[in-house]
Amino acid sequence: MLLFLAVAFYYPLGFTLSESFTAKSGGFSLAEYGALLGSRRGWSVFGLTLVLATGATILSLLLSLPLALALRRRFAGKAALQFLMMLPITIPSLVGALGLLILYDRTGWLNYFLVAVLHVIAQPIPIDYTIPGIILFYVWMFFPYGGLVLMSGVGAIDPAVEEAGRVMGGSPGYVLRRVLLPLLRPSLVAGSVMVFLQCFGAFSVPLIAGCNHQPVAVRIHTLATVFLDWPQASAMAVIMGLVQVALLLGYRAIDARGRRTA
Amino acid sequence: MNRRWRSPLRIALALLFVAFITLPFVMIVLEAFGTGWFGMRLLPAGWTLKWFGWAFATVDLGTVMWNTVVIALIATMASIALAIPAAWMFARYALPLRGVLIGLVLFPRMIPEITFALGVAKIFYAFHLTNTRLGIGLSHVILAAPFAVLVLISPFEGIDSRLLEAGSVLGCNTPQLWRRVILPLALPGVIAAALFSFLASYNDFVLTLMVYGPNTVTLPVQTYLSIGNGYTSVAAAISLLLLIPSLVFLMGLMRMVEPEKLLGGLKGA
Amino acid sequence: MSGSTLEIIGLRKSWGRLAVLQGIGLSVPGGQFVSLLGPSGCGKTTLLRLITGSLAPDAGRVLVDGADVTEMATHRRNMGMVFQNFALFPHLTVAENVAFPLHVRKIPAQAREAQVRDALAMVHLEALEARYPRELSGGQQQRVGLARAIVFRPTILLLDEPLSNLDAALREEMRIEISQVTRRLGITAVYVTHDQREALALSDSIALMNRGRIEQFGVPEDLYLRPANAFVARFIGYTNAVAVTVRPGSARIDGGEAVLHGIDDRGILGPGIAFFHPGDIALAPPPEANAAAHDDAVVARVEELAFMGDHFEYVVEDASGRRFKANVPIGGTVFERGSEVSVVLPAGKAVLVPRGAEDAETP
Repeated sequence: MLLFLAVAFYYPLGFTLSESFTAKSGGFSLAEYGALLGSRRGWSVFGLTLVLATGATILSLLLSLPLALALRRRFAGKAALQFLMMLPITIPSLVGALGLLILYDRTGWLNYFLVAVLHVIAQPIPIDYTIPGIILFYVWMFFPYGGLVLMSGVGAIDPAVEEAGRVMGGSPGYVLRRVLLPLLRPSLVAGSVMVFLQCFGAFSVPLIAGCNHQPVAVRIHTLATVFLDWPQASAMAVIMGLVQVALLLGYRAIDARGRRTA
Repeated sequence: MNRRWRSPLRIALALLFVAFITLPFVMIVLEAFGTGWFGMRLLPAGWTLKWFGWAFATVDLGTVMWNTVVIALIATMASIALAIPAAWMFARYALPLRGVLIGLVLFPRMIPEITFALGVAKIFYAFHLTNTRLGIGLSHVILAAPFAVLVLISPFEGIDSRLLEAGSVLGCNTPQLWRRVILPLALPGVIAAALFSFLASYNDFVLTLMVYGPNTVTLPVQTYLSIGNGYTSVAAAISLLLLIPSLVFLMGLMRMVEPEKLLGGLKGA
Repeated sequence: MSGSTLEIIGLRKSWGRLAVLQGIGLSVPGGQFVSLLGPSGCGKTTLLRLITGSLAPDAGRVLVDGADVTEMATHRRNMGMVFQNFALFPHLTVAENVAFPLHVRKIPAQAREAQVRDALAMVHLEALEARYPRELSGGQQQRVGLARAIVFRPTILLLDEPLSNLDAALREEMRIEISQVTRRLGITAVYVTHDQREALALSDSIALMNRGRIEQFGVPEDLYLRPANAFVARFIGYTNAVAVTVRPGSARIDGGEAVLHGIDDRGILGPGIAFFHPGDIALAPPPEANAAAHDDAVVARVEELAFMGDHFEYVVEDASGRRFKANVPIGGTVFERGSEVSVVLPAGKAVLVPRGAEDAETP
């Protein structure tokens, strides 16, 4: 197993790594990183990725938290809702991206309802190919990662604790603020990290719905296959991998510390 | 109390959520079966199956589907073959550096696919592997095997070692022990691992996009190519075929386990 | 200070087609300690939830000090509750847990701290106020739960099987603690339990529940000495039952010649059931060996005997398959397994209840 991964995974990874450090003339060089980090273009790619991922993470949490809290009780249709929640992360991402693209098109259903049925706006609003649009697509595709973490977090809270809060005089809002949210904090952190990592690595959505907005993953692909600039693409991939690993390690450190003190 | 007015509000919010999740799929269905769906209109002007016909005629969809399934089967078999011994080691032996080793096995799922897809592509070009199903299938093992290991560790841990002793005492040699005791006991886990592996390969887009060749186009790649060519309806028709295994898998899964327990990367990007 | 009165009128609650509570009425005077006693599934916990407002009843009303609180939100009812699994807030320290109800009520800091200190002193936990719940033993956690429930002087204190998650030794200690605290505060308390000994020991009165109904409501002595029916008698701890036909002042044991003379007939005439404690039943040598046969005795065979230290525990069975349990003090004759004995049923210790249709096959 490890041998296979060594050949099929770590060798290519090392290949990428070495390529990123190879000068155009051959020999070791940091030129690619210099070119990347010295250019506005390079920074803007990472900046865009960060904006998209952060925005989508925040919105995902705003969607997941009420959902997880609502789903803590049994009710008819709960299993169906859970099934729906699993859909975006189980299906191929391209299919989701295509459906989103059609739905939020200038002549898609959303604009159709806003313009032709509800008459709230006169002109269709552009959503596809805009930054808020990509964030919306990310939310659709990646919020279940946060939602599932939060659902298991909510499930781990003893219902009697909540009842205790209510009986002792806490209004529903007070119990939510002072009891449920503090208890959910580890899940909120974990869920955010999960969603953020997914958004950070997102490829399909920005590839077909991003147009000129190219976050890192798409930029790497473009550099490699369109401009055939493999060293530059490799350097970018290395940085991307490092950021992702750093985020994961940082999260695990927080998680471990949380477990010790909490 | 406010119990009365909350209920309609809840239903409205629930419906909004359902619409948010499902409408993209409705769009794909409309796009795949409709004609004359241009401009501001609710439904297509007419209904047709011609996009599926186009898909088979223009992009040789039959071959593409065959490629996808064969590649997924290769990836599944190779993943399981690799994952069973690896998971067994992790489950049953006190390995030195066990945590590090598990980390190394799972690492491919922790970093974005595109980062190692680059290197894999370079090597595939160098060794002319891009046009072989075997090559693509093996590359998918990188995606499928780590998760297969993860799925298999706990069923293997769950096997009571006294059963193995009993098997040996009753005269099984090691291969017999595997065939008659271990694998039957861990069968649900092995099936789950195989399904996960199949799906990981069948649905993969990023890695395949970097390494495919003219004879190894898969359904996701073809969907992308059709979108790129502007044939949205054809792409939608292909998407529906692409969706089938995921839906079947998900329905089966929902019957077996709580969704909260399924975290851990069904797919990347 | 005397506690609030609690009145429950015609409470009904169903889950789907299952009627959990079928019209419960109960009136608790201020400062009383009332137990809701019954087997699991009898509806006692549901009743507690209806009192707190965690559940809404299908019909009926809950009154506190004469005011209808049926529609009032849980958090406005000003009740304290102790939970079976403690339900302490895991992210708060002991002192913060106890202060929670005071924070909610916006009590100024100084008064709050004093009240928390008093409450913790009452349950002897002053020293542990900075600990987190998971650092405490089960008994300590439940004391925190008790302190949290009384710190704000609630109208009514509700206790949901507070001892059932504690081990035997702690249970005793905690029971005394609960008794002392409630009596010191003069608070009205409703205590849910399935353990009849707890209920007997703690309560001013007991409501014995079964299948969503109150079978009997009264002071502990009443339930013990004058059970209303066979269910109450069994649940309160009578293990030996014989079907009898009651006449004024005596009862003939069905299916035999034995008669219990001088029994307290409680006005029950006709079919009845006589209950006996195992400790009240005596065993004697069988009639042919003993000329002066008791006519209040039943002949039986020893099936099991076990030495329990201060007594022997016998299980005997008569010819009709009726079984009796008898605890016989050591020092007397020991009857071997299989030997015949005469089971002496003392009329003076018998507790008689009417035999209804549902009890037809009981003894």
